Amino acid sequence: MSESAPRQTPRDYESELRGLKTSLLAMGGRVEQMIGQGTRALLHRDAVGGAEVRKADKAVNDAEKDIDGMVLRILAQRQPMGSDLRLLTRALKMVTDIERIGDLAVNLGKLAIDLSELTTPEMTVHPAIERMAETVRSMIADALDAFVEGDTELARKVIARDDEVDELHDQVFEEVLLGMMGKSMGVAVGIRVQEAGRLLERMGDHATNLAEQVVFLVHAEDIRHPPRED
Amino acid sequence: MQLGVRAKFFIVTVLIVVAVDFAAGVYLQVKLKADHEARIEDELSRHARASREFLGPLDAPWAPELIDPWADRLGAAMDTRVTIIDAEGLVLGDSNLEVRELASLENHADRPEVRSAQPDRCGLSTRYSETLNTEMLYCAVVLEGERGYVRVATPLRDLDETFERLRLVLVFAGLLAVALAIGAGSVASRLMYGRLRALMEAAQAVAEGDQSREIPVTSSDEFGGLAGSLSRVSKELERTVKELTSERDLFEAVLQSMEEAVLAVDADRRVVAVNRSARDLLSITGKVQGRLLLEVVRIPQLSDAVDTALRGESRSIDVNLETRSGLHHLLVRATPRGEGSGAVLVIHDVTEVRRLETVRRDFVANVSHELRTPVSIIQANTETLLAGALDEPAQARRFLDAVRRNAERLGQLISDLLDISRIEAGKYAIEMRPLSVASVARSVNKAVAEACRRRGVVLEVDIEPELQVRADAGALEQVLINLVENAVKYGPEGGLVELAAREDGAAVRIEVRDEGPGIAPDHRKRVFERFYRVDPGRSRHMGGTGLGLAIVKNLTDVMGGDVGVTPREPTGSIFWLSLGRVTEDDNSTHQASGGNGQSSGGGEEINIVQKAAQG
Repeated sequence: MSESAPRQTPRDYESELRGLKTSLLAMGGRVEQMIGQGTRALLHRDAVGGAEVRKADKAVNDAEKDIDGMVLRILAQRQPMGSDLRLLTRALKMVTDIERIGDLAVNLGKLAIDLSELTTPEMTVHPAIERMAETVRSMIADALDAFVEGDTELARKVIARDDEVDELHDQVFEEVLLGMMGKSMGVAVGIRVQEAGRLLERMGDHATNLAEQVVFLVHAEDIRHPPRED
Repeated sequence: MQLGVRAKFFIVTVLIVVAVDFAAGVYLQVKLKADHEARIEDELSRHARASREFLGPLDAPWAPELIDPWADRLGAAMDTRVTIIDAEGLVLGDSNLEVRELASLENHADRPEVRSAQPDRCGLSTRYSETLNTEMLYCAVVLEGERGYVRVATPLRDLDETFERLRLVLVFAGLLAVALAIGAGSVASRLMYGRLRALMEAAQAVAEGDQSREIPVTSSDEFGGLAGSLSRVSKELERTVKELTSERDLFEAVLQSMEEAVLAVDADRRVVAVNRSARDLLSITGKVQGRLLLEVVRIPQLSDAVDTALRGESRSIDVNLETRSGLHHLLVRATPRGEGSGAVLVIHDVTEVRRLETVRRDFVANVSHELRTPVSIIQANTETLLAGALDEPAQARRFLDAVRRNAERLGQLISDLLDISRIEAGKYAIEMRPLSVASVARSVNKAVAEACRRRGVVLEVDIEPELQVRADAGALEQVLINLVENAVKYGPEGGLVELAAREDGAAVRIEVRDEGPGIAPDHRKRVFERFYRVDPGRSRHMGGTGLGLAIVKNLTDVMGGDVGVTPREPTGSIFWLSLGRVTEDDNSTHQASGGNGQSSGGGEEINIVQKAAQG
């Protein structure tokens, strides 16, 4: 941009940042819903619900592109400093994490479709899966709330809860493995339940990333990869 | 620079005075100077003519030695300079010069006053006199007989001095006028400013919302008028504020009492209003005014709907919302609020409506399906009989037996349907009174004895004899019979069914435990719905109508109790029932207290126990 470019008012700039925040939150909200949809489809072995998740993912992918574009445009035209610059760079990272969560939710939907096609009667998906999904969903919701409120306390709680998800994942993996070995659970079902656990575990990791970005955004403090206390 | 009204008024006054003073001074000076000059000219001309008359008869020889003394005498008499010049222009006498000096004077014939001189009129000229080193006014006339000229002159210095004095007077007068104007102006402006200030303060008070302030109307001039207007404006303002306040209160009351959730946002998508229903439905907590919609409610569909409304179009959308209390079905309507000034979202929670719609639809479908099966079996069997099977007694008996069984099932189904519709319509009259659980259990035991015997099931009853519940005898018996019959039906042949009851706080918990296959978690919530079957084929084979547990649920609700199912280890289910316990005190005080209002409907009572015993 040359010096002679028409100077836009601070009000325009404000509304650009507001638009960015709005888009980011809308995208997050969509992904929250997708996890709910995917999990419900999985638990009910509902192929229609599973397919809906994929439809919803289109909006998420579009939002990722939109937000990337917005950030780059603001960076180029405004050359922001300080906390605004931090918001923009964090937004780029958060968008990536949210988009990945969306993709994982789509995979959850695919598993629901796979399971709906199996004719194994009276199969109940491992109860821990439901708890995992609820935990992950609330982690993402809390991370976004923390982003809205600038609440690092909440963000740190989200990060702490990733251990909870990991434990549930281990439990699901082990119990389903034992079930398959003891023939009480079919392999076709078992591997899909394990896969669902893995997907949710990955979502938990991305939710943790989101929370870390929020901490950085507020305190300008990078808490990723802490030195190990051995 | 910011000047107050007072300063402006003052400055203007002073400027006007100075300008008037200056103009008057200039005018006076010009006018007086002209007058004065005319007078001097007039005087000189008279002097000149007098000198001419005097010199006319003089017959002394025309020589300087003789003439000069005359000039001196005339000059002394008239206090002016007098010069006598001959026709050739030679100066013969001058009142200011000695005789010997005259010879050195140049010829005066070319002087303008001399050249323009006439016998009766002055030739005038204003000039700097080298001789006297001063500005002089000259006046010359021709002497009688054209012998020469006499010239009188007076220095103009006197005139200048006069004007110098005049100017001084004028300046002094002007300064005095300015001083007076300043004084008068400041007094006037002070007076006016005082009143203006009072009005200003009153207006300020009105602007700040002090309605009680009286505005002083002290005079009938423009200030008085202004004060009057201001006072009216203040009253009008007060009235408008009151109206707006009451309108706002009304709006707020309507908004808050609405069943529908309402959210209003401005053009920047910031929340401006939200009602209680919206807070409850969308789990909104804390302050929301001025925050972005998506910060308050992270539902992208709502944001999309607002976007549409902000473009000026109304839009209705369906949203499925996952909340802590389960999946909610929302009907959202977004309406633009004026020209680009925001949008209003009205949200109906239609979860219950949709569920009831589904239930009703399913009910009709289920009833038709359940009725059709026995009817077609009866049709098929009777047709077979008519087609010839009637002639073969062994076969005919088998077909007739099938007809009887299905007719019975039809009858059972219809009476169950009637029961359930009566209970749901509130026409089932119940009489709540203290009942001994043990005695009800004995009736149940009798009623199911035949069913138990057929399947070789043992019913074990474990109830303290003195345990009492508040319930309707018929309804409780019906509930327990249905539960025990189910346990017998779905448990293994030769198995054990337990009927137990114990105190549970202020309630009595009655449990029916079986050794059946159990019910999967997904089904547990739904087994009490009408026609809901865990395993449709098996249930129908057992002769169930799919309504037994629905009747249990409905009757328990009517009695104000609670019912549910929990899994049993290692296998089987526990159907539990929770009803109000009767203590010794209750027993004495509330002996045979009436029903819970259901009986006031005046509906007919159905003897369920009797019918169940037949079934």
